[in-house]
Amino acid sequence: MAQTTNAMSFKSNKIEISTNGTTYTDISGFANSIEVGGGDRQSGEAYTYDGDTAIITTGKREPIEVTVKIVYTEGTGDPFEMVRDAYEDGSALYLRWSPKGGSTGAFQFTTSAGYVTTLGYPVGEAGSGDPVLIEFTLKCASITKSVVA
Amino acid sequence: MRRAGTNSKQTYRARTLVWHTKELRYIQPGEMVNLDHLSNDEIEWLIKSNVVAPINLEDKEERNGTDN
Repeated sequence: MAQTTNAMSFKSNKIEISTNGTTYTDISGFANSIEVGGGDRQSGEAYTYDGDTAIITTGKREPIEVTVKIVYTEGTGDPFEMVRDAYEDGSALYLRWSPKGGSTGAFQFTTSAGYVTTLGYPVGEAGSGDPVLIEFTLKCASITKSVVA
Repeated sequence: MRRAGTNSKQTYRARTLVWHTKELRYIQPGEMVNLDHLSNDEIEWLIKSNVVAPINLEDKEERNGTDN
């Protein structure tokens, strides 16, 4: 295949958060980074006397952890407060993001109902002029790809 | 917005999971999808990308046995 001309950076990413999986709040103006970990499919292997290679079988997929950094602010309904509420209540939270920005035809990745398992609180050093960032981790069962239309 | 001359009665079927920005819900593959809120260019792009198919075209493909 010829070299692609459709590569993209993550600069236009749109990220949204929801407490019900239906109504989402755009937090692109707060979010700084997003990482996804886990989700490996379990696998096993066994050898037999016949043959030279392993027999490999697969199991279920492990949970996924989505880690997001956001700018810490103190407004009512700001992302930090939404996440803190969900963390303290143990209530569900949903995330979705679209690397191309969520316009028509763009891919969108949506978590299943997840729970905030780690919440960072605002911390910092006196000498830093950087905006305060906090990080949280959402643990969910799956991420679904869809297309925006 | 939709341009003049578009056939507003054209219906489409999703060929992949679609997030509908007006209905605020997912459209499952195979379900009919209303694209009245999109421009012709956007709809054409979705068809070309195999995200949706016009119902009549899809029926024709099925008759010809070319649909998988």
